[in-house]
Amino acid sequence: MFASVTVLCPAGLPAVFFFAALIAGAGLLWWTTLAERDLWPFSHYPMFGSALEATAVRFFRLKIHLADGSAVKLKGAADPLVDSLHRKFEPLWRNGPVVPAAADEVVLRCWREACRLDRRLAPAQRIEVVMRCAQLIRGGEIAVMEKTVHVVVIGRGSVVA
Amino acid sequence: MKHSDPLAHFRFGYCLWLCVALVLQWRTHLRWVRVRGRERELPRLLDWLPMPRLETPGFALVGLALVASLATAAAPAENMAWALLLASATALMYFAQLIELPDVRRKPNTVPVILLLLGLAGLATHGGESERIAWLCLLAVKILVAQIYFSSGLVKLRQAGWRWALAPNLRIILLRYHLRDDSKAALWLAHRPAACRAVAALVLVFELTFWLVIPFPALAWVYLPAGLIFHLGTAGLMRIHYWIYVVPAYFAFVVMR
Repeated sequence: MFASVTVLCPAGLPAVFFFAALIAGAGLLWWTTLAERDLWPFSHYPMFGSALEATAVRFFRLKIHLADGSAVKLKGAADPLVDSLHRKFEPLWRNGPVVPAAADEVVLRCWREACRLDRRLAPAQRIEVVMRCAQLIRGGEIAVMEKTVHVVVIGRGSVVA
Repeated sequence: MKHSDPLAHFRFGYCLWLCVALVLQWRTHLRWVRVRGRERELPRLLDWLPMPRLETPGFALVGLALVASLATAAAPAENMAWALLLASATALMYFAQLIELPDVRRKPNTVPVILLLLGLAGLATHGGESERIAWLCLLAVKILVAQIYFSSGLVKLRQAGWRWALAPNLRIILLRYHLRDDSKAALWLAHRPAACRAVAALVLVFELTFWLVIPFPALAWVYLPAGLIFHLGTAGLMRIHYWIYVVPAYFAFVVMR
């Protein structure tokens, strides 16, 4: 069917479109690369571009305690929410003492979305926000530590650790 | 499919790969659209034209059309131009809905563009001069792939200079992914500063010089395996899966040899 429709096109005209697309595409590529701008679906791919002078890094993760006594982190179907939780919790932590209501909102919102992605997370009783830190030490050594910084007890409210 | 038709060989490999990849990721994509619902952010085409928001049934329909058109385009028939143009349009609609998904974001950016080029080339070859058009189309695909690496390397040079390879950059990046995913391999590499500096320098050189494969096709023997190792590395250490959408475009470097 597709081949028969192609026959209907006048010869020569598609070639004009093809060359026009090549020229336009080349212009867009040139522009996005040099101007460092994204014109979706063209991009300048700025991932990991900046120089990180810091010698320490932290990441906030959820630890969900289920009714059967097990504790799980966001993974599998709910994995896409891991970065989202970190991005939302990081400014709360950075800007001073964590406001419990704001932290609760971030945690509960993330958990509700996670439940829709993975139903096994629904019978949660307690949700912890765990701050994981790594520090570069002289001689190539690395210190890794983790600490619970916020706890939400489902149905009861939050506890700032 | 003629034995001497590199464009048909590329079309076959590229479309088949994407078709299988999309089928394998179908459930994850559909679930994401259903859960995020109206909260999803959508990109603007060329930063100008808002993309329409699809509800779950609409997204499923677009996904089916994309897979079906890719499967049709992969078939070894004479000309599949209209299937490719349909695949390009549906790929734009499909990936726009998933722009927030970490496994998507910028990764499939080249897909609708390559499919559009293949479709237009398919239409244009109908009017004759098929060899020249096939050559130009594959050249454009190669430039698209090279731009990903070159632009990424250029951003690093502009923002950090050669310091990017010397600073504790890569160690901090690896540690972040260890903290995120408990990646033991990332922690193992982060423990070795000299190895990290060497890997970072190699990445920078690879990204900035990949384009040399275009004027010097013999270099493909070096750069394509290096590209595969690079993508396997980012997938294994950081769970960044660019390879799903970028590696099939490598066929363009192979079929034209």
